[in-house]
Amino acid sequence: MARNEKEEAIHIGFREALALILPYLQKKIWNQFKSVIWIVLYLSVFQLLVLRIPIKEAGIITIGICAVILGLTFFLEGLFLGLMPLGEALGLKLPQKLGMFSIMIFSVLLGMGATLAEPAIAILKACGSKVAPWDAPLLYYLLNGGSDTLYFSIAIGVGISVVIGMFRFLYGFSLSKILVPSILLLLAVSIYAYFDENLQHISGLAWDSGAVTTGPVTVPLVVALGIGISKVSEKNEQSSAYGVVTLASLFPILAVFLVGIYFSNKVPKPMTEMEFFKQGIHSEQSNFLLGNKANQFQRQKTVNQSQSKQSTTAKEFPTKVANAFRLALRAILPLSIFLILFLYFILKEKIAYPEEVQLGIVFSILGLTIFNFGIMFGLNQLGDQVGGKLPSTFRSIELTDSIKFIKNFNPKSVYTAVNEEGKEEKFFYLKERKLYSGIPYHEENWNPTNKVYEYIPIHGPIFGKEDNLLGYVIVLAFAFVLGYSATLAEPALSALGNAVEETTVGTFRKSLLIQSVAIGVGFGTLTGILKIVLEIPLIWILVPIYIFLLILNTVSKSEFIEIAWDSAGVTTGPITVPLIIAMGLGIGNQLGTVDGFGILACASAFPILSVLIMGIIVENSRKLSLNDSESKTK
Amino acid sequence: MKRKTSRITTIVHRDLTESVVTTLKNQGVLYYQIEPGRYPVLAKRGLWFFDFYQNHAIIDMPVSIIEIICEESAENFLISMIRDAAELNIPGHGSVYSESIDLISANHHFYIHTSQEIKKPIGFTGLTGIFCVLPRGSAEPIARLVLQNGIAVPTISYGTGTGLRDRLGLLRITIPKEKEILKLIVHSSDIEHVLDFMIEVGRLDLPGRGFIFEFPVGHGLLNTKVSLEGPKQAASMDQIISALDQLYGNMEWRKKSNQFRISLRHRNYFEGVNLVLNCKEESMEFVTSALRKVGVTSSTISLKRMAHTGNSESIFTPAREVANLLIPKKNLPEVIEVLNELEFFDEKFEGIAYTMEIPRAFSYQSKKSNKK
Repeated sequence: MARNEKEEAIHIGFREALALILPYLQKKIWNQFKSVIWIVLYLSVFQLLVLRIPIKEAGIITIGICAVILGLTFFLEGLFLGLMPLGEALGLKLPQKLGMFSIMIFSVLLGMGATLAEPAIAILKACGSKVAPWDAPLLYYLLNGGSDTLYFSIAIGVGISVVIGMFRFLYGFSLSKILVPSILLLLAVSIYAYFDENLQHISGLAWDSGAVTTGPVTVPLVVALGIGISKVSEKNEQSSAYGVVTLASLFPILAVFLVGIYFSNKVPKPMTEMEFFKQGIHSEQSNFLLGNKANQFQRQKTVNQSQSKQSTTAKEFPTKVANAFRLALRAILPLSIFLILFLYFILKEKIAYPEEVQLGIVFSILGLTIFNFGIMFGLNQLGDQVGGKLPSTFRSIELTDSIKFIKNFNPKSVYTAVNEEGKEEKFFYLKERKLYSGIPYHEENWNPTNKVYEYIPIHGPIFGKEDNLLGYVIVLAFAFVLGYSATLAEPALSALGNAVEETTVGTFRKSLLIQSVAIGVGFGTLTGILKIVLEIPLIWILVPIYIFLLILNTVSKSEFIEIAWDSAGVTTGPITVPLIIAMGLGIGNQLGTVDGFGILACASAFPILSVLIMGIIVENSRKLSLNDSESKTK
Repeated sequence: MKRKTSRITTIVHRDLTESVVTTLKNQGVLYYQIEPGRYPVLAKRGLWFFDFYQNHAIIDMPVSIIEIICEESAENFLISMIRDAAELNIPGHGSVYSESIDLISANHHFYIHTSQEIKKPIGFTGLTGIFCVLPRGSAEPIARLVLQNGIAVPTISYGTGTGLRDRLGLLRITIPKEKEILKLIVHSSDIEHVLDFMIEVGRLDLPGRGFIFEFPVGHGLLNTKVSLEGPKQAASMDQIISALDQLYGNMEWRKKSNQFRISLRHRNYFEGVNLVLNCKEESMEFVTSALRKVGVTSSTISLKRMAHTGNSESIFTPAREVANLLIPKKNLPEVIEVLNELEFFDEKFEGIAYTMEIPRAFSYQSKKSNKK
C-alpha cells in the first residue's frame, strides 16, 4: 500500500487522458443533443412541410444549433462544477458564521446580482421597440426610457424573495404561508390594474417578467444556497430546499406593478395615433415619455419594415461573437467573484476542490458564450422564421424577409383586374424561372426616382380561405408542441431536475419532472396564443388558474407543492422565451394586438398544475404501498 | 477508548417518519442520524403513467433511514418502541435492525442512548446485511432482480465515492463520483449466494464498479412488501410470508439457496473492519486526504442530518458527512492515531468514529486476480 503521498499521484499519459475525456464528452454532448434536437427537428419539419417555406440561411442556422448544443453542454457542466458547489458551500457556512442581518444582506445582493446577470431579461427590452407609445404609453415608457428602473425593480423583487426564502429555511415554516397571501395580493393588484387604462397594458409585462427572471444563472445558485441553508437549520426537520424560485418569480411581478402604479400618473392615457401627434399630450409628458426621440418618431414611421429585418451577413460574425462573449462574461464573472470573495474573506473558508470550481467557472463562461451565439444565429433565426410565418395557416401574409427588388420596372406593364365584388385591382406579370405569375401591384412600393419596384411575396392562407378555423387549430397545435419541446431543452429546468433527483434520492425522477413540466408549458403556450387570437384579457386566464392552484395546494403534499411551484418559475428560460415571444409577436402583429405579452405568464402557470396533478398521482401509489394491506388487517 | 455499543437502523416509509421521531423524542433519545433514501417496489401491472415513461415495473418509495447509537442493553427496548411507533408488522412500513459496533470516540457519552427498561428481544436473529456501493443508476437492475426473486426489499441511498478518482488531478471530473448505496438484509444461510449473485449482476469484478461487503446483524424486523400488486386472496403473499416468519421465529424456511445458479468461480473475499467517520459537512475531504498517508485510499461518503430532539442547543452541526472506510484490521490503530493528530474528535470536526467487523468483502483487485 502506498505510504507516501508523492507516489499516489497517478501519472496519466495523453492517450489515457483522451480515453477518459472522450467518452465523458460524448455522453454529455449526447445528453444535450437529445434535448435540443426535438425542438430543431420540429421547427424545421413544420416550416418545410406545413408552412412550405424554405429555411433561409440554413447553413448558419445549422452552425448556430450545433453551438447551442455545445454551449449547453459546457454551461451545465460548468454550473455543476463551479457555481452550484459555491452556492451550497456558502449556504452551509453562512448560518454557522454570520448573524441574521448579514445573511439578509448577502441574500439581497445575491438575488439582485444573479437577476441582472440573467440573459433572458434582455429579451424584454427587445420587445420594447415593437410597442407604440400611443397605444400603451406606460408600457412604452417602462420598456424604453424607464427600462433601467424596470430591471432594477425586478432585481429588488428577486432580492427580497431570496431573503424571505432563506428565512423560511431557517425558521422552517411552510411555503403556503407566503404563497397564499402573495398570490391573492397579486391577483388583487392585477384586477385593480385591469380597470386602469394604463396599468391594464402592463399586467402582461409584469407577469411575464416574473417568469423571465428565474433563468439558468439564478436558479441553480439559489437552489444550491437553499440546499445548504436548509441542511444546517435546526428547525427544518424534513429538509426541503425549494420554494425560493417560486418567490423569486412572484415578487418581481409585484415590483413591476408597483413601479407601474408609481409612473402611471406621469404618462398620458392611451389614445389614437392621430390624437397623439396633434394635441394629445403636453410637452412635459412628451419629454418624459419620449425624451429627445420625439422628433424621430414621425420619421421612423416612414422607414420601411424591411430595413429593420435585415438578414445577417458574414461580416457581423466577429462582432456578434464578441457580443456573446461580453454577455457571458457579464453574467458569470462578477457573480462568481462576489461569491468567492465572500467565501474567502468574510467567511474565511476554503473550497474543497478549488481547481474544479475554477474550471467550472471557465466552462460556464465558455458555454454561455457559445450558447448565446447559437441562440442568436440558430434558434432565434429559426424561431423568427417560423413564428413570423405561422399566421399564414389562416391568413395571407407578406414574406418581408424575401423581398425582391425589380430593377427598371416599367409601370406600363401594370394591368387592371376585377375581383368578385366588382372592384378594380392592379397587378402585373412576373417571370420567375420559367413561370409567369400574377403579382398584385401596390403604388407605395414603386420608387419612380431609381425605377425600382419592391416586390413582397405573399404566402398563404395554406388551409382554406382567410381566417379559416383549421388554420387556427393548426397554430394552436403548433403552440402546444413548441412549448413542450422547447421546455425539454431548457437548461435551468435540467439543473432543477438534477437537484430534485439528488435531494429526493431518486424517488422523484428528473425525467418525470421534465415531462410533466413540458406538458404544462405546452398547454400554457396554447392558452397564451388563444389569449392573443381571441384577445382575452390576461386576468381572465390567470385569476381562475391561480385560484384553482391554491385549491389544489390544499390537497397536495408540501413536497410536491414546492417542486411544482418552483419548476413553474424555471420553465421560461433562454430557449423557450425567444421562441415563444417570436411566435406571439408574429401572430400579434398579424392580428394587430397591442402587446404580445402574457404568453410567458400562461406558460409558467400551467406547469404548476401539471406537476401538482402528477404529484397527486404519485402520492396515490405511495399511499397504496402503506395502506392496501393495512385496510385488510384492520 | 473503545466501547461496545449498538447501532439501530430504522428504515421507514417517509410518511411514518414523524411518528418514529416523536416516539424517539418521548423516549429521551437525544441525537439521531437521518438520511433520505428509497426502496423500490414492483409496480402493479397495467398501464401506469410511470411505466409509460420509464419502461420498467418498479416504483420508488421514499424512506427515511434513521440511525441511533445506544447501549447494548437499551437495544431491545428501542427496537420494540420503534416497531410499535411505525407498526412495522405491516408489510410496506419498513424495517429495523441492530448491529454491534465499537465506538472509538469517548468524548461524546451523551451521544449514546441509555435506557433502564429491559425488554425481551424481538425480531429475528441469524440475519446478515449486505452493503453495496455502485455507480449512480446501477442499483436499479440489481434491486429489480432481488425483488423479483423475493430475496428482500433493498434500500437505496445516495453517496459519493473517493478513491482512484482523487489521484487523477483535474481529469477526475471525467469519472462520476456519484454513487448509489444499496443495502439489504437477508438470512445468513443465503448470504453466500446473494453475494455471488450481486457481484455477477453488478459486474463488481470489473475495475471502478464499486464494492460490496456483508455485515453481521443482531436482531431485525424486515419489510416484506416486494410488490404493489393488490391481494387476490384474503391475505396477500407478503402477509402470509410475514406470518410464517413470525410463526417460525426466523427466516430459515425461506432459504432460497437452490434457486440461485451456483457460481463456479472462486472469489477472493477479504476481511477487515468498516470504519465509520462522522463529521461536519465539507470537512470530510480534509480528513480522507490526511488518511491517504496511512494507505486508506477509498471511501464512500454520504450526507446525513444529525437531528436533535432535546430542548437545549445541540452541540453538533446538523449537516454531516459520513464516510465508510474499509480497512484491514491491523491498520486500525494507525488510522486512529492519524485521526487523533487531526483533532478529529474536537470542535473543529465534531467527529464521531466507530467500527464494525466485516467478515467478507469484495471488490476488484488487480494483484490477486490470478490466484485460484
